[in-house]
Amino acid sequence: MEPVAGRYYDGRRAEARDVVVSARPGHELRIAAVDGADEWRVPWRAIELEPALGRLPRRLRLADGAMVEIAAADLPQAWLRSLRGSRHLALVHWLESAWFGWSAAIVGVVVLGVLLVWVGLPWTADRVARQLPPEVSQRLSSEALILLDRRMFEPSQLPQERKSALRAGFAELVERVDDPTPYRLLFRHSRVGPNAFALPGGEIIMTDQLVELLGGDPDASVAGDAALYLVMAHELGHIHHAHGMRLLLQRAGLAVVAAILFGDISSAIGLAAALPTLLDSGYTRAFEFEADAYAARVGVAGGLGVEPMVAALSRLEAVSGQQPLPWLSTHPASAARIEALRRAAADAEAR
Amino acid sequence: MDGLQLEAGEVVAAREDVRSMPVFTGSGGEYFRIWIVNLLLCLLTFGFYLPWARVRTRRYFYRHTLLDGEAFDYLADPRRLLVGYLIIGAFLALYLFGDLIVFGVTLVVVLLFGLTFPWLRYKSFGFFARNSTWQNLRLRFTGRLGDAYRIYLGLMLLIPFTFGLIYPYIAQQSNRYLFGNLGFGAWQGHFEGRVGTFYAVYLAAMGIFIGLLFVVVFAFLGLALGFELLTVDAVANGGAAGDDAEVEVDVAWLPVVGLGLVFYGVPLAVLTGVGVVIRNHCWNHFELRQIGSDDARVRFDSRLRVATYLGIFFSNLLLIVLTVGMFLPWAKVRLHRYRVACLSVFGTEHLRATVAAAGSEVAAIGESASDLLDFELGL
Repeated sequence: MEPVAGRYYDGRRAEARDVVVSARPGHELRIAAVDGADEWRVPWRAIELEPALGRLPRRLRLADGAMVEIAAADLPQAWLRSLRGSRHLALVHWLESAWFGWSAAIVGVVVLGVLLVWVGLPWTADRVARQLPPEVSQRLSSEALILLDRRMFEPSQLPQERKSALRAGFAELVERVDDPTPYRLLFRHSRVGPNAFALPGGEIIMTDQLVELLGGDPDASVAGDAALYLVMAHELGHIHHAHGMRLLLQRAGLAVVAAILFGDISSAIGLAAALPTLLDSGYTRAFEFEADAYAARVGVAGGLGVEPMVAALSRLEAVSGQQPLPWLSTHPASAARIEALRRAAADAEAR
Repeated sequence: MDGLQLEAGEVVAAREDVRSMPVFTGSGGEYFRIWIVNLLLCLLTFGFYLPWARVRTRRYFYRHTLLDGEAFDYLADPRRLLVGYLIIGAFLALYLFGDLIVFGVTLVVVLLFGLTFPWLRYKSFGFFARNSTWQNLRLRFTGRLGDAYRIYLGLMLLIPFTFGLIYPYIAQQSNRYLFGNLGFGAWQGHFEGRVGTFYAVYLAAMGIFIGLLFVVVFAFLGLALGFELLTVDAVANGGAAGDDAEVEVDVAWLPVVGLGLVFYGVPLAVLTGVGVVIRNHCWNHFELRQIGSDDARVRFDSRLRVATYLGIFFSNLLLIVLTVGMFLPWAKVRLHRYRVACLSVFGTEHLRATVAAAGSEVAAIGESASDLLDFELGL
């Protein structure tokens, strides 16, 4: 076997020595200093080859703490076959080196990344959310309500009889959906205009402004408070599908993924911060569609249809006006929602 | 930084030590392939490959960083890192979700983490040093656990009572703890970084930060006023309100996005700038002295320029965002290459042929300890 040139580091001195390395593979490595002063013989089992990395020279670690460095191209195949550690991460190195390997890795990362974000995380969050005991979402709810009351709401100014009437209608709605969750309807005067909120514990909050805007619709084609009941059904959908808890879990999952992917460099902080926000709005929009579909089913079953909701959406859009950037928005554009609503209603009627 | 550079120059002239410039021989393209394969394997293994990916990445950077033509190496065992990651992961999971299961868990987790943090710091410094080699000789860290608790618990607890004014002192002590306890063979690190300089840097940064914030707030007020006028105009025009409203819709998000970028970018720029100046100061006031001899010294000189560094940092950030992360490997290489290019080492010839004295035994004992947090000094 032809001897190869190498550099020897004894692990005690910060000094490299030029050596000639020869071997009887499987038995022994013979390392001879070029200056002829020293020679070391190392049993084959006392050698460990470090995993290959790029085109860097290969390093053989000897049991006594010494190390021999040999150019990757010089390392004889016969040694590689029997050296300890030579197969370690060999596949990884092949993926990194071969054109086909790293191209496949790019495709794999894109496909798996998309799958993870759009399928894996939502699916896992859904499963976990269903496993959590109801007390968890109830506690979250009551904390959120305290916060909302402090920051966003004032006590409702609606007349008592108006609230009672709506609560009666709400009770009827809840009876129809047949769900064990203890649903409650709350009214608040809002500093943010017409809106409705669903808290994971079962509370649905309607703002006075929303009741005034959509209730007792003057539009002759829509009966009374139908739009309000459909909005309630939409919020019931959010609670039924545990959207609040799922969003919380999905966000946490995204943060972990971002930390794993980009955590090793400070300049990635920006991306790690921006990416979840963009994906996050994607998640919430998916939830809106899901809640709409639920409302459509409830609406069709209760004989309300979806048209009052369609009218309400256009009305809401006209009032709230500006939609900033569609892909930054948490709610999908009204046109898309209306189309989806009508499709869901048609499906429900067909059944 | 002129003063510091001059100072280092004087010393060099007096001692006539040989100047060595470290070089980085890796490339963004090659690192990209390592990075993308690491990503793939992390995704396939639900993140469990992460420690192997970290070690491989660090090995790539260490092995391609040469001082006097000799490479550094990183020898950490990924399985050790995995244990550390699992513990940190458990802390994080409890912190995020603990309150959902049992109320009050988060507070306990925070307290527990505060209590273990100094120990983690101490362990990770040791782990980092022990697994970093140059010419097959391990670095060592000889800091004491008590000092870690004094700095990372005792002094930290004083932050609220001193309105944060103690922070520059903590930063100085922290760097002294790391640099001053590093060792290599028969050489021991000495850190002479000055508390006064740390205070000067942090106070100057605070001033710049407040100044920039004022500029931003006034710019925002101006913008907001502009939009207010635009809206009023739209209402006043009544009949043509539809068209005007359209205009408003199109530009309404601009100040929001711009403000987010600036409020995010200003602190990031100031913090990064502070990091650069502190880094220079630390390297320039660090030296290796031969144990038992006052003669030979190895000195360092770091001349990173804040403007250049920020230029690289923010152009990296922009390119990373524009390429949805794909530029990340090149970004990392660029920054590392610049850091290495700005460092000089004087007197490495003394290091050659020095026998590891206390080093080997220390490393052997430390090796058996369990290692947790991974820590990067970054050359």
